[in-house]
Amino acid sequence: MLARTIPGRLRFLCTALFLALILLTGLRIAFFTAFHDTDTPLGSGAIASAFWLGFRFDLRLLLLLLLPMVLLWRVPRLNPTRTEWARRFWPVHLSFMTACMVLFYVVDFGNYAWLRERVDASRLSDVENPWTSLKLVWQTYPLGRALLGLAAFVAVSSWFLRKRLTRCVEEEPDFSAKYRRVATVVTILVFVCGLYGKVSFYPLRWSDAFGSTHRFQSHLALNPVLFFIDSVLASEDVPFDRKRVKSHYDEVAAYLGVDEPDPETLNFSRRVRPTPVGEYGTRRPNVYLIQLESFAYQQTGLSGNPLDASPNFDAIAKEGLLFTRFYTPRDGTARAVYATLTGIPDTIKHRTATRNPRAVDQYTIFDALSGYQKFYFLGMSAGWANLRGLISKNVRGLKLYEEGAFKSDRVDVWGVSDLHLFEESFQILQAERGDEPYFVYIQCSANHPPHNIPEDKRDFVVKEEDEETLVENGFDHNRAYNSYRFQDYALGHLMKLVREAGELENSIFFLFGDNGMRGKIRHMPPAEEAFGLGNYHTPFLIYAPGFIKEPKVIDAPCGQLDILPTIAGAVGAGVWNRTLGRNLLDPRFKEHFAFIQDKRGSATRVMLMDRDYLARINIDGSNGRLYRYAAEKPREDVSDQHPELAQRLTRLGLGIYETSKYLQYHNAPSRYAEEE
Amino acid sequence: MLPRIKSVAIQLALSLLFLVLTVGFVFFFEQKING
Repeated sequence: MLARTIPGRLRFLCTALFLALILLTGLRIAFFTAFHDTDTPLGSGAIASAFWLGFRFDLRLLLLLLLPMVLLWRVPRLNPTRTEWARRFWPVHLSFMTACMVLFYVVDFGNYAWLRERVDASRLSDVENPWTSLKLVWQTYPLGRALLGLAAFVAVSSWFLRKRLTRCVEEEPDFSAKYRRVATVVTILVFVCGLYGKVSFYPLRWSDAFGSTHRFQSHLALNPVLFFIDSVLASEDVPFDRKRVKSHYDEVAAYLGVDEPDPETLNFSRRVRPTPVGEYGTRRPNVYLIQLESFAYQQTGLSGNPLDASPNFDAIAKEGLLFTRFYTPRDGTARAVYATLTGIPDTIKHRTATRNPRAVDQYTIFDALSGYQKFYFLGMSAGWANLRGLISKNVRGLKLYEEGAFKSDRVDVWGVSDLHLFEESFQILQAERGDEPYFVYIQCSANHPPHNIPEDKRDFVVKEEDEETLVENGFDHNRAYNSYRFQDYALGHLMKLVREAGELENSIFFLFGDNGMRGKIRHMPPAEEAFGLGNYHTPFLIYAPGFIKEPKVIDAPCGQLDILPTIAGAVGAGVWNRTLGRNLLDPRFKEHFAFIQDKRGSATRVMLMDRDYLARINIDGSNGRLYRYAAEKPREDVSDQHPELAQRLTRLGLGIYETSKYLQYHNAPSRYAEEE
Repeated sequence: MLPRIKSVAIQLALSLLFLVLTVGFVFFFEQKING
């Protein structure tokens, strides 16, 4: 029947794909049977979900392996309908590829039995000593028998597939050209859909497997071959150097306030000291952590910018604790989420730490804060920059709402508008919240090119300014100006909703920008433009009208690393702080610093700012400089006048940089569980 | 016998070459799709 309706090569392709899918599903069942955790068993829904996700990963891998063969069939000599040689060769090739894949699974299973980790790029270090590794494997596992088994598999599989291929191409009736074209289109569609793997704006990515905090569920869903490749692709970062971390340990540990410093174990753990911002009674306040997109400090009205682009933010800033010198350690949204959640600057050069599979195994204060219902809202897909793994895998009990969870239409690539994100997030929050206080992280994403404003913009009025005025005040054009204004308008709308619901008095808002913006910033100190600081400079505001009775403007430099420790301190939770942020409200910290990793050409350098000075040094320790922040001529190096200060700041800056690399590898929650 | 061994050897060598190319292609695809 099939022989009369499906062209021969396509029929062979279906057979090969079907058999391989059965094989990989069988291997997943074997993995589940061998390694499932009886102490924390997975529910049937979670198992089904992991298998379904795994099936889509497997399908993608198999289509990727088959695609080159299908394309090479266009070459007459390699076309099985034309030559006997091709009919012999492709079955051998497919069998050989399958054998290699099975061998990889065997290695992966062995690795999992040993380390409870799927094989990732870290195993590449074994290749540095191939003979030792090979000997170890040879002595531990029956490798000889396994290889013989695989050779037998290649022989039998080649024989079977050859028989099948010959039958498929020989039995083929004479299809019309039109029919063949239809078959080709259908095949292309199957390949495209299978490779994309998902009905979403972003395709299926490795981080989709980490949508749950249950470790085994994620491991079960992964395809080990694809995961290994993804981890290799993401492992471009410079490895840490323990000796360098150790050489800077004393000043970094002192800076962080580590209670029990130990340069041997490189202990950075310390408790956040509770620093409540008001009287809470028996119930802790709700927490709103709001990440505003490209919310450059110099574009706010409170910075002295005359364009009045942020009236709503400016109004609430007057009633809260406003940090006017808050700098992000790098620019970019994904890096901001990483730095905020982990307290570690993203030091990876070209891509981002969120794209690295290591991101799924990081301790975060967001997780450690107990007694809160936790929510994360973003108007676009969490598949973007593989944020999902970082967000969902590291925070237990977190409810993530992303693209697809909102009724409003997406405006552009950045998802729903900020207005609708805030509005719908608040509605969901009101519907989902229980008796416990809640901690909600809302990530805005719409203030980006193409700077669209939705059709439903309520009473927001688009303003037009002349181009010269805009550029003079840090905006590229009217679209960017109005997009920034619209984000602020949306924030005002959220505040109105919270106030009307009676939630304002028992909530604390923490607002910050993911990064700033370069541009002319005449009303700011010249150092901001001279050192490109505008790119990193955003405001940070703690707003809690029910609790903060004495609003303050604070000019102490600080950054995203400090956000979660400050939140923990503000709600009075003495949780463990294990990374590089500090509670900004803790009075024992007299000096405050902002850390920035900057790049000039191919040279990476770090900057560390205290209230009056900015120190800059290349990461190899060369070209250390000290500049005065408020100077009229900021590029004048004053390190000769203050050699000790220059030395102290550059050393601490380098220390934070070296430690951040180290911590990316040493911040797994399991590590701390062993310590305690 | 010798031509048969030669043929199998050529097939395996070619298969290895295609395997390397295919793996390169998978790397390329995954890099692009993971953004």
